[in-house]
Amino acid sequence: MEFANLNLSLVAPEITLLVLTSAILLIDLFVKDEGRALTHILSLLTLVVLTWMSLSDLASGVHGTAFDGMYVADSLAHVLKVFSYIAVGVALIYGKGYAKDRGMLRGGELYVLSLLALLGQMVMISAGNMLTIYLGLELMSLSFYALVALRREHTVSTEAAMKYFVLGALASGLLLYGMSMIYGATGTLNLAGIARATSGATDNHMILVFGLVFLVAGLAFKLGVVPFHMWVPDVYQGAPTAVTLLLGGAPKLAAFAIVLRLLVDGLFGLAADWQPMLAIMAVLSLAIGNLAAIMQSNIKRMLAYSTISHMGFVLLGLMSGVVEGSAFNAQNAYTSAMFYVVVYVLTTLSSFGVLMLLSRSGFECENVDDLKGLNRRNPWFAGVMLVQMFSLAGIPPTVGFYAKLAVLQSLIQTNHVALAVVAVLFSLIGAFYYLRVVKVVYFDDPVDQAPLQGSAGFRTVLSVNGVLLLVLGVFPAPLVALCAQAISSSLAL
Amino acid sequence: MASDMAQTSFPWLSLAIFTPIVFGILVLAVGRDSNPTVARVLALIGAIAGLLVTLPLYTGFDATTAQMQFVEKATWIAEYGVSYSLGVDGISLWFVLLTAFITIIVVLAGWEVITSRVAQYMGAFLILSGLMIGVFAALDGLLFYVFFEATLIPMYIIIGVWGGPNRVYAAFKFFLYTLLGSLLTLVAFIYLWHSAGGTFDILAWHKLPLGQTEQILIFLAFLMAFAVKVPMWPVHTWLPDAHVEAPTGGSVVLAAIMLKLGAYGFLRLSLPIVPDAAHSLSGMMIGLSLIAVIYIGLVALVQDDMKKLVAYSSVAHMGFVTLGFFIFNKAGVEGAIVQMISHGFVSGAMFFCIGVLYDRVHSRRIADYGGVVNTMPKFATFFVLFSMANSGLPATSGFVGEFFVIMGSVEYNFWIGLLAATALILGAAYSLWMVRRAVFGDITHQHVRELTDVNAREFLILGVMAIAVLYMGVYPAPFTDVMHVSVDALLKHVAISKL
Amino acid sequence: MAYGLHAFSTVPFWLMLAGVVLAWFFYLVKPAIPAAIKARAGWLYNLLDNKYYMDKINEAVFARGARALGGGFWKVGDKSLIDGLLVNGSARLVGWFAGVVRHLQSGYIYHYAFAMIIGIMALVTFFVLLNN
Repeated sequence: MEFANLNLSLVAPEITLLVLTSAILLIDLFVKDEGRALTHILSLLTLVVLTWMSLSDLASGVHGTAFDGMYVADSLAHVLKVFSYIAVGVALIYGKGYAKDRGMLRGGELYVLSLLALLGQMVMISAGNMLTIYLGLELMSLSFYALVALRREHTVSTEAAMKYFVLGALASGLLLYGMSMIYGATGTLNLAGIARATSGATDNHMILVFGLVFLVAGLAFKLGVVPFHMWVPDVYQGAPTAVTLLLGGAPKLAAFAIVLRLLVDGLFGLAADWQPMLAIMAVLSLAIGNLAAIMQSNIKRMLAYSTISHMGFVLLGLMSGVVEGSAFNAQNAYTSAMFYVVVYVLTTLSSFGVLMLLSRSGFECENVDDLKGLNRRNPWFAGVMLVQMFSLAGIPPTVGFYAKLAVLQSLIQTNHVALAVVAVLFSLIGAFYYLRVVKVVYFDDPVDQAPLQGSAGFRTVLSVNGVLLLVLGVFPAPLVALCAQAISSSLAL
Repeated sequence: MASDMAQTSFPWLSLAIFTPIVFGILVLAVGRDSNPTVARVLALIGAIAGLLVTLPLYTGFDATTAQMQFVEKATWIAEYGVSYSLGVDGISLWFVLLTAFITIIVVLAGWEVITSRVAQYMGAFLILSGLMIGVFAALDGLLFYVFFEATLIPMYIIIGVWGGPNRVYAAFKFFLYTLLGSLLTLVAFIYLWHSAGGTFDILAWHKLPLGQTEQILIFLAFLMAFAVKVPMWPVHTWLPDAHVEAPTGGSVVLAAIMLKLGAYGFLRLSLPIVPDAAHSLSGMMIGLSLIAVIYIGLVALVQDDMKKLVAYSSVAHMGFVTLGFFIFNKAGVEGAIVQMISHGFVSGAMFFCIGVLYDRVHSRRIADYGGVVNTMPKFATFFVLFSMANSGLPATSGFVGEFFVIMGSVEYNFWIGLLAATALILGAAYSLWMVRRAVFGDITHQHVRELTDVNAREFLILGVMAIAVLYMGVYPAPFTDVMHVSVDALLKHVAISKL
Repeated sequence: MAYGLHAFSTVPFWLMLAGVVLAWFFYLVKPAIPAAIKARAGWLYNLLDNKYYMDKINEAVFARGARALGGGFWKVGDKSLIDGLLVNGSARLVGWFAGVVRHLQSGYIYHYAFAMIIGIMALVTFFVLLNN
C-alpha cells in the first residue's frame, strides 16, 4: 500500500505505546511477584513517556496529517491525549491495591489491556478517516470487554461483560452501517473529504441523514446517552471497581473526540440534522439519568446513572453550535462541551477512587450505606467526597459548577432558554442524590469502623485529585483557555 | 464607567472576605477533638481578626457619595467575561460589619456546647462568614452567585451534623428549596450576561435597557431565589424547620445574616436592573409582604416551640423589610435596611437566649418553663429586653426600622400603613406572651428550680447584644447616616423607566 | 399661672374631688354602704366591675380569635397546603417518577437491545421520513 503522505513522525506516540506495551507483555511473563510491581511501574513509566511526547507536541504546535489524512495531529488531539494518559495512569494507581486483593493480577492483563485500550483511544482521538475511528473504537472496546470480565469467578462481572459485549457489537454494527451510508452518499471515507462533500447543497440528503441517524446511534452508545444507555448501569455496577474507573474516565474523552471528529469536523454541513437528535437524547438522558439515580442504593449504579445525565449535559453543549446556519457559537459550544467532559472525568476518577479506598479484601464498598460516618473515620477523605459530590451537583465553588455554567451560557447565547431551564431543573433533582451521599458521610454514624487501606501513593494522588476540584473551581480560567485553544485548532482545519 | 470608581489602595474587602476563610481552613487543619481548645481559641482569633479588618471600611467610608467604594476589580475568567469585582456602598456597608460581628458571637456561643468535631464546627462558621461577606461585596453577577450558592454548603453541614433529631429533613429542605430558586436566577444571570454583550458586571446591568416582558421574567426568576431566601410567604416553610433543627450558632447565623442575603439581592439586583417590572409587580410584592406580616404573626401566636415562634417572627419581620422595599420611598427603603440590621441583632440575641435555656433544660417547649425569673434573674432581664425589641418597643432597635417602614407605607397608601401598623400588635402579642409564660409566673417544674444563671461567657454575649440593640434604638444615626445618599441614588434610578 | 388657677374652676376638677371624698366616705368611714350598693345594684355593679366586659371581650374575641386564626393558618395553610401539598408533594412526585423509571432497567439484555432498536426506529422515523 502506497501512502503519498506517510508522515510517520506524527504517529510517534502511538508507535511508542505499541512497542512499549508489547515489551511489557513480554516482560510480564517473567514477573513472579503477586503484586505485579514491575509491570505497574513500567506501565506508569510508559504513560510518563507518552505524556512528555504529547506535551512537547502541544508546546511546539505540531500539526498535520499522516497516512494520507487517516490520522490527524492537532492541538485537540494532543490535549485530549494528555488528559487520557493522566486518566489511565490515575486509574491504574487507584486500582492496584483493589485488583491485587481480588486476584485480578494473576497475569499482567490488567495493565496490558488498559494500555491497548489507551492505544485505541489515541487512534480515535486522532482519527481523520471513518475507518480509523472504527479501528480505534474496536481496539478500545475489545480490550474493555476483556477487562470487565477480568474477575473470572465473579458472576456479576461476567454478566456485565456479556451485556457490554453484545450491546457493544450491536452498536458497532449500527455505526458501521451508518458509515457505509455516508460513504455511499459522499464517495469518500476521509473526514475532510466528507466535510467538503456535505458543505454545499447535496442532492442525496436523505441517504446522508439516514446514515447520520445510525452514526449518531453508535456514538450515543459509546457516550452512554438515552436510549442507548442501558448498558451503563449494569456494566458500571458489575465490573470490578478498578475497571469501572478505567471505563468511566479516558473512554469518555475518546468518545467525545470521535463525536467531535465525525459530527463537527466531518458532517458539519448536516448540523441542522444532528443537532435536534442530540437535543432529544440530551433531554431524555437528563431526565432518566437523574430520576433513576434517586432510587439507587448501590453507589456504583448511582454514579452510572449520574454519568448518563452528565453526558446529556455534554450533548446540550454540542447541539448549540450552529444556529440557523450561522456558526458564530461553534467555538463556544464545543469548548463548553469539552470542558464539561474533562471536568467530569476528573471528578469521576476521584469518586471511584474513594470507593476503592474504602474497599478491602473481602469487602466491596458498593452501597451508599457503606460510606456511613466516613467523616468520623477519616475527615480528610470525607472532605474529598464532599467536594466531589458538590462538583457533580454543580455547586460553586467547585469546578463542576463552571462546567455547567459554560454549557448554560452556550445554550442561552443561541436562544435555547427553555432548554437551559429544563437542564437546570433536572440538575436540582440531581442534587438530591449527591446530597444524600454527603448526608451519609457526614450526618450518620459509622457502621464499619475499619481503617482505610490504601498505599501512600494512592492517598496522595487521590488527595491531589480532590484538591484540584476546588483549586480549579477558584481558578478555572487556565483549563477553559486550554480547551478553547484545542477546539479552535480543530475547527480551523 | 470604570473611570468613576477609583480603585482602592488596599484590598480591604478581599481581606474581609478571605481572613475568616483562611482562618477557617487553618482551624480545620489544626483542630483535633482531643484538644478542642486549640480549635476554639484559633477560631475566636480568626473571628476577631475578621471584624478588625472590616473596621477600616467604616472609618474610611465616604457617606457623601453614592459611588461604590473600596472597589477592587480584576479579570477572573476572561473566556466568560467574569471579573473579580468588589465594592461597598451605603447599602451594603453595615451588612459586612454585621456579618463579622455576628461571627464572633457565634464562635463564643458554641464554645462549651459543641463537644464533637469542634474544629469542623468552627471552621464551617468561619468559612461561611467569609462567603457571606463576599455576597454583600460582590459587584460581578457571577461572583455574587458563586458566593451566594457556596454558603449553602457549610450551612447544610452545620444543620445536618450538629442539629436536632429531624435535622436531615430540615437540611435537605433548606438546601433543595434554596437551590431551586438560585438555579433559576443563574439562568437569568446568564441571560443578562448575553444581553449586556458578554459581561457579568452588576453596575453595567443596572444601566442595561430591557423590554417589559424580559423584565418581568427576569424579576420572577430573581424573585424565586430571593423570596425563598428572605423568606417570603408562601415559600417560607423551610425556615421554621431549619431553625428548630439547627444548633444555636446555626440559628443565629441563619436569622441574623443569611436571610439578609435574599433581601440584599432585591436591593442590589431586582430593583435596579428591572425597575419597570418591580413597579408593575409591586402590588403583588406588597400583598405578599402584608400576608407575611399578618398571617405569620397569627401563626406565631399558636406556637409552643420557642425556636419555631422566633422563626415565624423572623418571617414576619422580613415581611416588613420587603414591604419597605416595594413602596419605593425613602422612609420605606431606609426603614427596611435599618430593620434588617436591627433584626440581625435582635433575632440573633433571641435565638441565643433560647439556646441558653435549651443548654440547661434540653427543651424548647414553653410549657416546660415558667418562673425562670426566680432562678435566672440576669438572664430574664436580657430575655425580656430582647423580646421587647422584637415587638418593636421604642428605644430599642426594633422600633426604628418598623416605624420608618410604617411611615413610608402611610405615605404610599393609608390602608397599607394601617394594616402594617396593626400587625405590630401581633408582634407584641406573641413576643410578650412567650416571655410571660416562660419567664414570669410561678415555678411549676422542678428543673426550673434547679437552673443556674448565665455564666460569664453568656453574660458577655448577651451584654454586647443588649448594648447594640439599645444603642441602635436610641441613636440610630451612625447606622442611617451612611445610607442616605446611596438609597437616594437607588430610588432615583428605580424611578426611571428602562422601556 | 392663670391657667393653673383656672383648673380649680372646671367641672372635672370638682368631680374628681367629689370622687375622692366619696371613696373616703364609703370605704373608710362607712364600709357597710358599698356592700349594700352591691347587693342592690346587681347587674349594674357587675358591668362596672368587669370594666364593661371589655377585658372578657378582648380575651374571647380578639385573643382567642387570633389564636384560632393562627392555628388554622398554621395547620391548614402551612402544614397541609404549603408543606404537605407543594413541598413534600413535589418531592413525592419526583420519587414516584423515579420509581417508575428504575423499572425500565429490567436487567434483560434483549430488552436493552430492543430499546436501542426502538430508539433507532424513532430517530429514523422522525428525522428521515417526517422531515423529508
